[in-house]
Amino acid sequence: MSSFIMTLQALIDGLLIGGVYAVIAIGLSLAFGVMRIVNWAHGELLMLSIYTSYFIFTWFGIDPYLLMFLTAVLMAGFGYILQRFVISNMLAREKEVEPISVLLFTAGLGVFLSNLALVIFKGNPRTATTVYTGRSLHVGMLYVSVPKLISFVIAMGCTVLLYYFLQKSETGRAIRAASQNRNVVTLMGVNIKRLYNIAFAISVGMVGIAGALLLPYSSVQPTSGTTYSFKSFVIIVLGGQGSVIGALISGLLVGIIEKVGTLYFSDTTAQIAVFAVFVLVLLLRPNGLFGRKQG
Amino acid sequence: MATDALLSVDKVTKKFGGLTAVNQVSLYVRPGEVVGLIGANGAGKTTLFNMIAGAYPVTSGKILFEGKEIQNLPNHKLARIGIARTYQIVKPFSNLTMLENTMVGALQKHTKVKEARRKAEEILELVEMSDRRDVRGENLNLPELKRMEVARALATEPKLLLLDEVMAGLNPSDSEKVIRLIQRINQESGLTIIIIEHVMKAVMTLSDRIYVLNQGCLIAEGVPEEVTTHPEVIKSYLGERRYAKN
Amino acid sequence: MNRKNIMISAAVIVLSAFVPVFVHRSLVLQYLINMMIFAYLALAWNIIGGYAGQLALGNGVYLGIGAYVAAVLYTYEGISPWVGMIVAGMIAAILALLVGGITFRLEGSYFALATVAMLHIIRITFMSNEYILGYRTKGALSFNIKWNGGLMNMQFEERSGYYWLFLGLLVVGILISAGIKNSKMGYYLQAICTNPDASGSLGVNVMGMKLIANCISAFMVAVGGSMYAFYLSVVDPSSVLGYDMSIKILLFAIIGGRETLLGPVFAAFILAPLGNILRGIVGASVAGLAEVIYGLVLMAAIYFMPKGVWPSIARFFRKDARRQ
Repeated sequence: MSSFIMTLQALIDGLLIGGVYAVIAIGLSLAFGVMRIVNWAHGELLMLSIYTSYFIFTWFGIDPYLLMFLTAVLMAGFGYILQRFVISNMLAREKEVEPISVLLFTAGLGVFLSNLALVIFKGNPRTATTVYTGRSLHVGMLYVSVPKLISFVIAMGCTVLLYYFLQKSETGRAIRAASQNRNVVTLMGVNIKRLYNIAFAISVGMVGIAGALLLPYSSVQPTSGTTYSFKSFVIIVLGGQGSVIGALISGLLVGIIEKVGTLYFSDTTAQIAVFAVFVLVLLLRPNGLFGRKQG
Repeated sequence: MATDALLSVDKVTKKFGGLTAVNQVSLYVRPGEVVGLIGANGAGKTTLFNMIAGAYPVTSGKILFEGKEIQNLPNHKLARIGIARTYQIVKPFSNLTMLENTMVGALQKHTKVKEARRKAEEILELVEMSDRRDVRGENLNLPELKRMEVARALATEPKLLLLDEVMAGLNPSDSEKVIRLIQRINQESGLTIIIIEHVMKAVMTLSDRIYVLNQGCLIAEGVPEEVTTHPEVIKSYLGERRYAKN
Repeated sequence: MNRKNIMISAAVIVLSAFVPVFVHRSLVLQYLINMMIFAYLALAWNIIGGYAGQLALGNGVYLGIGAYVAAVLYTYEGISPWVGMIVAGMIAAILALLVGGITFRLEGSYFALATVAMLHIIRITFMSNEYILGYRTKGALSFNIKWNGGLMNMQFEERSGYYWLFLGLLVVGILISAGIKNSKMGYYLQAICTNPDASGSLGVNVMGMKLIANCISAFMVAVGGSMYAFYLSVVDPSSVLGYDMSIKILLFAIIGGRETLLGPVFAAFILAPLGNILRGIVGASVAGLAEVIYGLVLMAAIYFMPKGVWPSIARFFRKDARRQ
């Protein structure tokens, strides 16, 4: 195969996986943008969601793409409870804009979840063999993996839905207003606590969807969470806090950098390349490639 | 512009996006003077302060302190050359006691902790807060915090002190105390002071000269009596206030 | 610090130095050494994470750097670990300068993120490369430090040798930490921690102070890492460059009390042996259980005691003193 075809193949793979990265990152970005909460356990919650999908699939044989709705609801519920009964109390206590205690708390949650997974599921990677696994379409000399394509399409659908929700619905508008200025929302008389609960539930719900989307073509292990957390943070730094479009483009970009980097160098180099992009953006455009300047 | 000025602001402008917060403002302050800066809310007083104290860069214009250009220097450098400020919304170090808060200011000139502590104790004596010296910032009330702001600024032993609404939120008797404190500091040590204040009585009593800002522009300057009778001022600021009162 | 406190501290140190004379059980010494090394690391972390309030989530990376640099220099260049640890400290300080320089002007979470990112990148690099800068570090496998006993090689026949080594390290750590806390720098860092704007307007160079604090902290952690490597006489990336290690260090500092001098030491003394005992009971069969508990304890500590336990303990003693 010529190197051109191989590059094109890597581009396609990167784009498809990048779409799912975007969904994960948008979830994180929502919490970061609105509440200025750095949810350090975001990746671990994703790991939890993939395991959940895995077990529901293996035990009940539900199609992973149908499963998506179930995991989304489960994870959103978990996020809601976490925000409503734990994080909100810490927010009320801390005066700072960007609450340090929540960052540390979620870091603890991350350590807890990943090691709990290690205790319960052991360290070996698990892969679910679904009807989609391993299937691919041949387009000329290119292969397009079927599960990756389906997941990508669903991911894009979710992104569009969320985008319209934030743009058009009343709750969505309030969330956006809060991400720009918390005081404005208080003045408008919106119940900010309720808004936070909803935003955090959506944030974790996105991870529930992403867990099901990843199941048909990737393996899961207790340490998976950290990798996804890291990628999501890079993506939102690139895309600018709270920006759905920014996170989408950056997600695709990170997917592509990863796959093309792996093709030409190695997996390690690709990960370092992602890090290098992250450092460059912090240096040159700390508000993100597509972010607006923070007042 | 006076040649013997300690501070002179020369056609300074500050824009935030499309909004011009301060427009071509020029003023000067002579050593030993108390200068008042008044104007309605949003007139640009605090923005001007922030530029003098180095919190924001200027969009255009110059600020000279002792003849040297200081616009766009970071705030810690300005503090070192002798410009100290207080904040309209108090910014205490909540994890430190009042004495320690004041010491942070004093440490600039006194590198040894012991000396800084002595200096801070002296200043707390001056602002009459010695009895609250061991209370942490988080447990102090507003009048105490306002005084602590002044104490911290004084502890840096500045040549120019910028006071941003130190009397806002205080009751008349507390305000009276602060007025006397400022007078004493100015008279005893000859410290140059610029004050922003909404309490008109305070500005009128304290200031040698007053500048009036309206919507980012300077509309009047002079001794207190001149300013209060200036037609522009009455129309734009004092008039409104009187109107509002009646 | 008054004369009485100095006398008490000196007495405690002298008494601690005699422990190995009476205690010969190797396991007990091992626990004590573990307590001291983690107390030292928590103290070092506390300079940037506690006093300056900058969330160095991944600063365990400097432990790994310290371990590898000293081990490699000793093994391939024959350089004594006493020199190697200084070199390691300087490398760590330079990295800390870079990370801080890039992220300190942004919001706090960026610094936290950058430290974790660096940790991951360096761990991945070590795990997937047989050679690092031309030196064979054996990738993900254990890199053994050749045994050659002697003070110059920081290798001791008896556990008591290491006991004294880490006691010395801890004493130095406490002295540095106390020195910083009670100096101009300490006051400046604590001011920056709560209100950077106000600090700046009082003449504090906020950026410069944070950078210095980060460098000192990184240097100290790296030196600790070098000694730790020679104590274990083996280095591998998943332990010294693990994220769990970073979390453990900051956990002790936070539970003890981030703004305090002795809180981190106290917490490490209580929690490090608990971790060991737990691992001794179930650890071999159930990997990750100790970390599950660390995660839970961290969450509970942040939620219920955000300022740590030391302030309450100190208050208790002060009341006690007043009563007398």
